[in-house]
Amino acid sequence: MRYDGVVVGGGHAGVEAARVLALRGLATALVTANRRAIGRMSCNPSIGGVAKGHLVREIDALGGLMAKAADATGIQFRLLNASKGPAVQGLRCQSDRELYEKWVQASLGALAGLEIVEGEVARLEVAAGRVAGVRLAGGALIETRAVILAAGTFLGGVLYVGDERTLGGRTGEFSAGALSESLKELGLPLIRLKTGTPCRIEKDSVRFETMEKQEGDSRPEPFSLQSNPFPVLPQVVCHLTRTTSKTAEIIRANIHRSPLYGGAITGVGPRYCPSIEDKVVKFPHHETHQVFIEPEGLQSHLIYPNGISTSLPFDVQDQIVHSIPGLEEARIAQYGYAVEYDAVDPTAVDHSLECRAVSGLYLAGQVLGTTGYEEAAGLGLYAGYNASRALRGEAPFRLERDEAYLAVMVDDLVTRGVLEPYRLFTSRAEQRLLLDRHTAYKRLARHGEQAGLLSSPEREKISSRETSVIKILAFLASTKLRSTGEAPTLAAFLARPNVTAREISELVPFAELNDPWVRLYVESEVKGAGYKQRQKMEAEKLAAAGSVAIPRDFGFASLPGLSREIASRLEQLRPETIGQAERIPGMTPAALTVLRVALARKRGRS
Amino acid sequence: MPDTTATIVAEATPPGRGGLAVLRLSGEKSAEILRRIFSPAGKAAPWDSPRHLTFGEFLDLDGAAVDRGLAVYFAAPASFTGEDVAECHLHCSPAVIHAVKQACMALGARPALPGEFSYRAVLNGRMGALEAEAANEMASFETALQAKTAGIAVAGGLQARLEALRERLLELSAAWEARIEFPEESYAQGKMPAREEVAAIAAEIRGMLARSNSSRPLRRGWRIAICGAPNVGKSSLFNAILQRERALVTPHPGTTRDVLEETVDIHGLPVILLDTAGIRESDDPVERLGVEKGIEAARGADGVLLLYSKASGWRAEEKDLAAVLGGNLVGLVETKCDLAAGGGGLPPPGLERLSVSSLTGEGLSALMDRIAHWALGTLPGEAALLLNERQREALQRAGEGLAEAEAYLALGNTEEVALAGIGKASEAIDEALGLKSREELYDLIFSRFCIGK
Repeated sequence: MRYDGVVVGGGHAGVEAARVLALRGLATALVTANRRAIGRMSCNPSIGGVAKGHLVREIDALGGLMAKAADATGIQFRLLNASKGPAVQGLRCQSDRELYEKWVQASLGALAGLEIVEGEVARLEVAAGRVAGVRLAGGALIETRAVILAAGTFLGGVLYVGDERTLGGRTGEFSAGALSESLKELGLPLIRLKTGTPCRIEKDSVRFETMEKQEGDSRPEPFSLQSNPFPVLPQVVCHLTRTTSKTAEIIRANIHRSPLYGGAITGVGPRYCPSIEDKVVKFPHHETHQVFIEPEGLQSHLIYPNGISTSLPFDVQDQIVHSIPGLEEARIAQYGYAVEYDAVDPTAVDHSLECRAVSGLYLAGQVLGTTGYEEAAGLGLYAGYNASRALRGEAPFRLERDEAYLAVMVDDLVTRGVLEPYRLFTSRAEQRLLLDRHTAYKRLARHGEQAGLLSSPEREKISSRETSVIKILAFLASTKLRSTGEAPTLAAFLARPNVTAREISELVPFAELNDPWVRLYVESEVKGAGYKQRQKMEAEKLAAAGSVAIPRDFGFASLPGLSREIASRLEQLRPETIGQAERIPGMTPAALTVLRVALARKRGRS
Repeated sequence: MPDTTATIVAEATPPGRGGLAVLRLSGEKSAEILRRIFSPAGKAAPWDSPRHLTFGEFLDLDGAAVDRGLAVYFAAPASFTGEDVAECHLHCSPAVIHAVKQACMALGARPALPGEFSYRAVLNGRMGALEAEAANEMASFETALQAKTAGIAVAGGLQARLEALRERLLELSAAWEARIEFPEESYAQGKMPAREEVAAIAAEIRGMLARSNSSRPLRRGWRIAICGAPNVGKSSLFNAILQRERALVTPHPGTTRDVLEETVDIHGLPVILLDTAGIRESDDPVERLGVEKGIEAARGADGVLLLYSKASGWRAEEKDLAAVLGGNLVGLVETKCDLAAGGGGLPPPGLERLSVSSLTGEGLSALMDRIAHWALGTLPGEAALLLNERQREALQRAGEGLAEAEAYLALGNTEEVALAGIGKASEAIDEALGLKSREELYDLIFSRFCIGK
């Protein structure tokens, strides 16, 4: 067997990566242990959120799949932070878990040039520092020049419940131990991370009537500009309940049976997804904790109790669930667990997400130290696109930090590394006020277009919206509120707090303003004009200061005045610019000065 | 950037004053050089017992003893710079220092650049950027009092204040960011820190800048203008205080046209004396220009000495001048007190008056006392904050960031917009402290708020 590119893993990263390769005309194989698990949501049945929702829209602007999949299978949509400014408003949806994976599988199935291969990858074949192929567990070899490794939590995965340990990356599935060994042999630095998931509960055993209702937005906004009609599926209600002091008592009484506190788990978990035992131990002054009761799907007989992720033994999980109002009689269909897995230290890859040590080997998703479907999908798209460009002999694809959250994430991972599974936050971006969801297409669609990932009707839709916005903004800036006397321009009037675009729509002779995709965009641009201008200037200043290129063969080690520690860190990470060097943890102002002077001297000589 | 592998040598004490001078060597060759230029009096040698002062003779290049004094050796990394360091405590004679330093250089050391010892200390992690700056200023200070105030910064007073500011900004950011990033988490949504905190921190920064403004003369010296009508002896007094003929003195009024400036040490305080043109109506355009310059200089100075001569007494001219310049009067000086009193009147009794004679020196020492007393009186006591230009600039930037945040909030924006300004303030404070870190924000968020579904 021989393919241009091979994607290992069919999760959210693998799906985007495989799709990009195939769409760009490369013969692609997606190797997965189970073709029916492709596109699976292995944790909560939800997409988006603050920052994550921004990222999903960026994926759409670049021509990725996730936004459309989420729109097609969402059963409740909400705009988080609706009362704050557009920069931090985040779209989030509840998904029908089963329909989501079916939708994704159907979408991949329609791609010419993509082959799904069922099997376990046991080994990476590398010759002279270059990927040559992947060896399956049965011994078969798939030859290829590019591998995108998106194996999720399956590398050396171990599941924990109480004192039970099983090998696996997800309930009922195998663990890729051999592949982990193969990566070690290649000299890739592995780190041990951890994540967890709560139990699943039989829906008919839940007393919803005692819980607080959580409705979706009455006029929901889709993730993708291309989703029409929307929403597709009937919309449902979620519920909210809380743990009690009895829950806390049960956990305290059984904490010694937790693999986390018993010392069995050494991997580092994300602080933003703590287990319920973590919350009780670390925040003893909080008597209760929220539990979101999320439907698994329209037809599903299960619900997902979001907020009580745990790896305590089965009998304790039963007690915990029963101590929660509305769940007194609940039956657990599947118990919660913690999973510990190997990830590659992300500083081992460069800004293409290609391993520094093995050319042609790209990494994306949890195997690169991230958490979250959205982060995985974004990285899969980015890695797949870079792999496709390398295969076609094109220059690497790069994005700047003030251009996209995707760029912030890639740069953070590659220059800073991770201590815990990485999640995106809006505050990770220096210029987050520029990265609101309305401008995603303006920022990124040209890249999606260049990549050939956007169809022509899609491109048409994007550009016609941009044109409408430009036209309306020009009109607002040049038209007075009243034709007589001293009157502010419509733009100045709209910029005032509490004035909305709807209120002035009668004064604007462009029907497009009635389209929420245009109206919200216009409003955001007018109201944010002042701070956006400022952030743009700051971004330019930062870019100018950080853009000084560092030659590929620059000898950091021989630079006098650098501490050995910093010099070896620089040798390892090989930053491409001063800006990247500056973001490396542990860099001191003095070391940066040394570097700047040395670079200036080098430029002076050459 | 200087070569950091060389062994460097320089005086560690200010030139010219005091009984002792310390010559410091830092780098790999320090011990080797010390062996060649120092001969211990007893059995113990400094290079064998680090951190102990040893008495002995200092030798020049030819091995001839040029001084007797103490030497001490510090082995890396337990030294000021983190490298091998040798110190020679010599008698403060330029010839001795020169001879020993020449010997060091002949043996392979090169002269240190200004601040290079501190630079190495920072590179080797022996010193924070802030302490290094303070230490560098101390090294260049000319007077005892300045050094004493710099000591406050070395001891960490400024550091502690900046750290407290940083902490407050971080707390505020963490609480606001938690609300923004985790809108569904009830604990992250808890008590909202007041927007007034932004204004309160901004006020604190303004206060620090104001206090540091008032201690500015301490670093650059007090500027005192010598003013008066023509021919009352301004230039003579100027020369008398400087103890040299700096200004041209003639019996003709209007001789001084330009403003002359000289720094002088008065009881350990740096004072910049300005000799100005005599102030009068004049038809000569050049002199008129000089007069204008003089008035300008007097107004820009920290203080004014208003002179009148005993011979001509207190006249209408003096009265007018007192009205124009009276705001920051250091003292009223009656000059030429060796001469007989002329016909003029006496100044109003409320003003303190000193009589001097530049010719005989009479009253000069009382005038010096008066100047020092006045200068010390302008200092705000313990609260003085010593900021160098970089720190001042950083604090100013922090203040601007907070002003930006306040303006955004006043315009009806929500917290995430204000945080753009607050972020700038934090960054500026971090720079002043020589830190940079974003990860700490998340540490604080996750330790403060129970977050996560």
